[in-house]
Amino acid sequence: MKLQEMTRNVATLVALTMLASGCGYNTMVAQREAIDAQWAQVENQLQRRNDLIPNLVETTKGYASQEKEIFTAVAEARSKLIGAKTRGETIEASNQVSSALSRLLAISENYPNLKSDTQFARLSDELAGTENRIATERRRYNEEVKKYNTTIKGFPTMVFAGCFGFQPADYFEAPNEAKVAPKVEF
Amino acid sequence: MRSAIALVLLLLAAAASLAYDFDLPKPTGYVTDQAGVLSGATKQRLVDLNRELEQKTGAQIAVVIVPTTKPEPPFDFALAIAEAWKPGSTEKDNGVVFLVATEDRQMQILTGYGAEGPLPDGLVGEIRDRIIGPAFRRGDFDAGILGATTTMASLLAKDAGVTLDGVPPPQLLKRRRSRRLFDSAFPSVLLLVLFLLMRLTRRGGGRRGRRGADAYDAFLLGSLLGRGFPHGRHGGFGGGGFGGGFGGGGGGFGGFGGGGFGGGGAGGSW
Repeated sequence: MKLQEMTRNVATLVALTMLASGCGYNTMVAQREAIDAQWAQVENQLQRRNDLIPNLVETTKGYASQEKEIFTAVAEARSKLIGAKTRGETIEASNQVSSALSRLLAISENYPNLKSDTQFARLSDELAGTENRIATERRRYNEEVKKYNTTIKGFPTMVFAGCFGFQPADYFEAPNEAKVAPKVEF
Repeated sequence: MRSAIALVLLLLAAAASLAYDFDLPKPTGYVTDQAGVLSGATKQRLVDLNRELEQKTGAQIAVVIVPTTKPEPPFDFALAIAEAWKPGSTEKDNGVVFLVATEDRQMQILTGYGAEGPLPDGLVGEIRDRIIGPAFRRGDFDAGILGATTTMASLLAKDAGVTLDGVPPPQLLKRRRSRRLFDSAFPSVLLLVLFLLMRLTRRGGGRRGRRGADAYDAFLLGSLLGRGFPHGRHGGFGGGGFGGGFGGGGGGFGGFGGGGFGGGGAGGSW
């Protein structure tokens, strides 16, 4: 009697496990984990860029103090990024930071003394490298999202994805005007 | 219907893998010169340098020269190489990709995750401005590539606590720095003497004034350290003049390691 019950429980457990792995539950969990891990990498680089901004702005102010509008735009975008709570907000704020920074770098063309300042040159290099890092981690994040979204929208996993509440993940889209990538001529 | 979905998914997957499916150069060792601009001697020096660097630190500097990266931007091209070849060791991620596109007049240096410490972007930018730029502008790829690679190698070695045979750049660094130190350290030395004098005259003052004096000492010392010694700036680099052969031969290229890259480094056009 007791033995029978135990056997039945074990059998149910085994059946459930087989069903779970068969329907791609484990795959979906693993892929969602991969997205989260990759998102952390994106956030690291966004943080790194945010840390660079005060120095860059200070150096620029030394030569181009009248460009107040741009400094305000950079500061606003930066604090918006710091205050972002969801991934969607972070992505939007990050794009805003990128476009504000690209404007900040563009004005350096109008100030030869700023352009030839070695401190500014090094900070621009750091910023360019960080933008490249963000682009790299963003691409990797989007690749993970694509894998996961493909899984949960495919058959038969879509049925189980619905049952277990797996939602499609958002891509990190970056509009063209948000790309800083300053043209470096040396 | 199902097959239509499957087809779309298949196409999506194909597009994803196509993202980097342009013709990457095949590595021919540490140095891959498809543009044919390097002299045999330079190539040999780069190979010897890399071999010693790899033996001592596990780091690898993949030097890649192509006529053009078009239609890809140089950064994407360099990163694709980094992700496909994976120079550097798996544990330390201390690889570097040094890409030059001669016809495009573009270059990109990528640092692996573990090479970002000894080679921060700003420093790579400085190497580009001071070593690569002047040489490339006069069409001397040998000097620019050898000079920059040697400098990066010595910095990677220094970070790992080893030195490379016949690589003098650290001396160049030091010479420049010591001159600057003298210029800017003079006021500090003066302050230091003053500070010591004041301490001496203060000797024997009662216990009461002690806390205040300590604070004052700390303030003086702080301002001393704060102003006098150059910090946050790198010393200069010299261009050519890397004397001494490396004695070639022995041991071949054992393939690139498994280093990871995150997109750091610096590039530009000349």
